[in-house]
Amino acid sequence: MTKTERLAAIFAVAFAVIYAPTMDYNWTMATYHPIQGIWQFGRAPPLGGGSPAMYWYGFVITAGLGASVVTALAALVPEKVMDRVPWRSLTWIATLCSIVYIGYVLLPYATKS
Amino acid sequence: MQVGWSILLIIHGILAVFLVGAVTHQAVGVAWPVAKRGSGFFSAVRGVNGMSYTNAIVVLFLATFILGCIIYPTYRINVRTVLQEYRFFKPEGMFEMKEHLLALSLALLPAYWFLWRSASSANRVARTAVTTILAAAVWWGFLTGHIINNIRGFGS
Repeated sequence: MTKTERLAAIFAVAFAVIYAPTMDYNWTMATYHPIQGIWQFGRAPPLGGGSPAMYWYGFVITAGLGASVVTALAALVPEKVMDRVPWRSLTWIATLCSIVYIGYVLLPYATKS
Repeated sequence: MQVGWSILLIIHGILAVFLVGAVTHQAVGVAWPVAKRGSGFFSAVRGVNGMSYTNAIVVLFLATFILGCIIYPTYRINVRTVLQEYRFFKPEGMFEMKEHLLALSLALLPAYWFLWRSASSANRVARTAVTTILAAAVWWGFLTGHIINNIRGFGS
């Protein structure tokens, strides 16, 4: 496994680990108000008048930045240490766990009527 | 303006069709490979060279994802509010799941590309799992988009 390949796997793992709690607890980095076309930093409430606030873009930014930081730090760790971790397997296992977590969070949509 | 959004939605849908086709071929080929290529349809599908699909899948995924991001606010204003008004919770939840699945898939793309670039028996399990997750996410997104558009397309 080359270093770049390993860093790509670490990014995917870190993104999956950060993304699920980010969407659950709304740790959004930005809020978009589509009717007004306004971006706000962090979590902001709807501006009123029936205007929705969109947090998903912020979730992607939060998880993307977080995963980039983790990947940059991982690049500094000696390769001998990193080689001991099964990154290829963790790539899909972490993503699958994140999907299950998100599915559980969204379960009320399937049960309420 | 509505016509413009509908055109973007249609292009988004067409790209998604290409993406579903490509990623399904690749996922079937890697998860259920043929030992000896026969002449039948299923044998041909299972016998595809998955590596040749990788770059096309990455490009199609990015193009479809970016278009989806552009039209997403229009969905949020014109479609999701209607779903909530009529208490269509299941389609609304399906769309919520779609956006999260595709965000996770976006982050998987670099690892996916490397796994296919250096495809070997050593990374076969990871390659199969990542490709299958990607295919499942794309199918979920495709079917959800289709259902939501049936309930309320932008022009309706």
